[in-house]
Amino acid sequence: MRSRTLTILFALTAILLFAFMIQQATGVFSFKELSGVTQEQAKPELSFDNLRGGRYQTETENYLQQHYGFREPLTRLYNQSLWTVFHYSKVVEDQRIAITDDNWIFETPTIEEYYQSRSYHIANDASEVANKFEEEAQRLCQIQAILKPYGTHVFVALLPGKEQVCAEHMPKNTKFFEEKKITAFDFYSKRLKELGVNHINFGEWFIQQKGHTDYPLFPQTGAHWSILAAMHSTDSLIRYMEHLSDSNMINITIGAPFKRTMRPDADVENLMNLIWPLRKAPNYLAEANTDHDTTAWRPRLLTIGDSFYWNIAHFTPVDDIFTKAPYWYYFSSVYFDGPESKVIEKDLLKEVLLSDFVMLSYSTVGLYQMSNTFSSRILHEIYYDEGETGPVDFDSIPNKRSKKFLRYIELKQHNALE
Amino acid sequence: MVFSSNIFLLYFMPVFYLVYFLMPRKTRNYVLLLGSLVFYAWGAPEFIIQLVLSIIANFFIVRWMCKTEKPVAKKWLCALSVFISLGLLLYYKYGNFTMENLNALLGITGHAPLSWRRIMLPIGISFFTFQSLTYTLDTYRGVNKPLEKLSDYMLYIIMFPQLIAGPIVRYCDVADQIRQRESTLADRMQGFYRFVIGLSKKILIADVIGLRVDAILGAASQNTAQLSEIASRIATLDTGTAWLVALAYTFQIYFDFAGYSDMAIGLGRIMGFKFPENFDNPYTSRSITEFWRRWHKTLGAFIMNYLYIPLGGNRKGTGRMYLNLWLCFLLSGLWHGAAWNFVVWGALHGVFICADKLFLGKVMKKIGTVPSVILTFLTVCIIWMFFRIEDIGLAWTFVTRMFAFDFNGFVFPGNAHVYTTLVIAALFSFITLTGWGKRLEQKTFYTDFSERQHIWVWIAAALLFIFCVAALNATSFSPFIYFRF
Repeated sequence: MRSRTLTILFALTAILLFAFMIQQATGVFSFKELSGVTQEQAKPELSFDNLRGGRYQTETENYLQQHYGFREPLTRLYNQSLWTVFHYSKVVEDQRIAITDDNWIFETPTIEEYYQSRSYHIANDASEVANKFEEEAQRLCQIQAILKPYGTHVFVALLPGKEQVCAEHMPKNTKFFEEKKITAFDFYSKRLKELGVNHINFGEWFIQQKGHTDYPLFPQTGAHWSILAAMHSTDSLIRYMEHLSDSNMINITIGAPFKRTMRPDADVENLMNLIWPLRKAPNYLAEANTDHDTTAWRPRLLTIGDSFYWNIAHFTPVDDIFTKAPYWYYFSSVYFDGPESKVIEKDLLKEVLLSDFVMLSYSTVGLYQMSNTFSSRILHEIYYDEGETGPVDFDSIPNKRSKKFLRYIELKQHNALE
Repeated sequence: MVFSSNIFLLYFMPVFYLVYFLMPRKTRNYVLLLGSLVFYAWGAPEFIIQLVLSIIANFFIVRWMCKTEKPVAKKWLCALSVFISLGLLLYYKYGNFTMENLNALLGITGHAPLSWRRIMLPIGISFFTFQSLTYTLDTYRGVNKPLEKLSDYMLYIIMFPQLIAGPIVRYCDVADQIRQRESTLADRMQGFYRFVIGLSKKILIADVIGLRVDAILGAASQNTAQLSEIASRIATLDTGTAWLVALAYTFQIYFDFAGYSDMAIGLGRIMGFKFPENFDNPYTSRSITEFWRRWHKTLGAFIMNYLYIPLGGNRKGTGRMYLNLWLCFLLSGLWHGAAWNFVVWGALHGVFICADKLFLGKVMKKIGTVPSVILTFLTVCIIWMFFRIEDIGLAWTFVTRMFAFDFNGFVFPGNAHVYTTLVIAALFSFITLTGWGKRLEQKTFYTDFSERQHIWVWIAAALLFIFCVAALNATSFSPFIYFRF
């Protein structure tokens, strides 16, 4: 009897040991994929040199880490165990995320931004931050004035961070509750207003709306604005673009909110890859449709922005409203404009002149990182030809224009720019 | 290949054991040999040819040594075999160290440094060199007859369970098992349980703690900028943090090394090998002398048999005995790593061993079990820092911070998971000080299980194994929210 038990256990051990390999090879069981993205390890190439140098071995181990059988349920099992027993999540630690006891999730950099430490930490001192945004505002003022006569409206969409709107839910950590001073966001928005730069400040609108909407403006366990907040903001953006261009665009209608059970609006929580979701307030979704007004103008929009724009891109009928709406993520990667490419490969001046609107969409945390890149480059291309260098004058609009700019303007005036 | 890797756990181990047990008994040694060659070649492909050649050379030299009747020739052949084994160790392990120190000396005396190409250290060389030495010396001394088959000798040297990190198996302990061994179902299951216990020690305890130690002291390889950052961090380290780091490292190294030994013993037992135990609750020792009887026991036995006794042991007077003891520990330090910090670490242990013999041992006995265990543990803990921190000056600074009584700025990157792991590590380190702890250890490691017990232990082992695989991979999985951040 005993030997029979041991035989069974020995066979079970063999099954246990082989199970991972079999699952990897056959994928006989299917599991919910893990959220988030890591750098994918390609299948290692077996060659004598790779093997001798140890590269094949290292890459195989990395590959197996990402592809071993039962990876998804086991990763969730491990994460859930640590979360349940210790209230610990590796991703929270690695990605600088703070979770309160009642499961409100914030990105630590946004909290730091709220308490005016992040931008000022990235820069050396306060005057450097102020100068940077002052210069940025001045440049945008110039760009706006130069491009408006040719039908390109440049404007800034200032998007609030979760910490601005849900400050009362932030972690009760004394480190963060220092005396609050003016933030880079506040300073920038003030200067844009004073200089008359086109901009729409959603921060003010969000704070006004707080508590008066039948959906949350920010999801409890996500980093970005809620899908419904993004939808309503899109409506405001359309109104603003109509105001800037004195035109009639396609309207969107947003249906009644309903509780969202599938794929909840919880991007950070999803990263934790737990088995059971965190206890949280429900998230909502609504249908967003456009009116079929064939007389309405469908402009071309170029958005340069941070990750907040994804909720607009994915959940509003952007393609119905605009003829084209490419998205330059962090002024680096290009989406919704053919195959995924890089901004550096694009003809910046042409893309801008082809657009009816250029929206610079910044949230509090992306503001410091995003500013400066677009404005200085486009001004340079307006003023100087390739190889030419020189200062960009902020005090007045210089008459100097690059040959390329003049050529594109001529083409645009003949509707031949493409 | 290391045991706590996916390639070993999910591929090598199942395939190897399947083939091993499917093959006829007579051919199993060849399967094991082939598996061991693959195992080693995976980790050190460039060294495998040299390793095999040195094994072949040693095998025939020892055979020749046994055949020859002339004592002088015997002695010379024994010396030649030892020279080959030690020569490889000296070249690969101490080549860089020697050149660095030589160049430092040349620099001091105003001479230009010599150029040399850095030598890569083949994994496990310290261990298989010692095994090779025990074979040569035990055969020379007539303790055992030489092996008939080259494959058996090769197997003894590079058998994968104990190839990388021991236990250092003396030839005389394993000679019979190589020729003939029994692997019952109970052996296989107990081996599996032991392997899982070792894997858990490594992945669930040592690695968790190790990450936090690395966060303060830096990981193994550092560039100059990182080193200078670590140096400035250590120079201002808060005393509480310093103690916690030292304690954490003390548990990390124990659970890492003991875990590896458990895995080796378990893997061997599945095939019917009975490898010697390497650890016996070292942190419950009442003196440093006792600590060395419990820590890395197979190294201690090797040093005793092949270094201390040949040096004269205690047979040549008290003074010489102290010198021999101290020398043995100094060399043991150097064996652990080719750097001065290891020498200091070994020398410090040597000093305490001598002090034990002179007076400290008596003092420790008088003060009672708990105080002596605590004092010994703290001493070991402090000395470990010379093992962990390669720069001796920095190690000394760290130790001074432990006694600076500066409690401003606690920076140990702990959390509930890490602190609980530390408590579990402490619990399992000291558990055998109690009677029930001893019984638990006896029951877990050294008693045959009943049928019902086997079922429960198997379930626990299987769950632990699955959890270890999960932990091994989940800890390296730290995703970003797609392109959204």
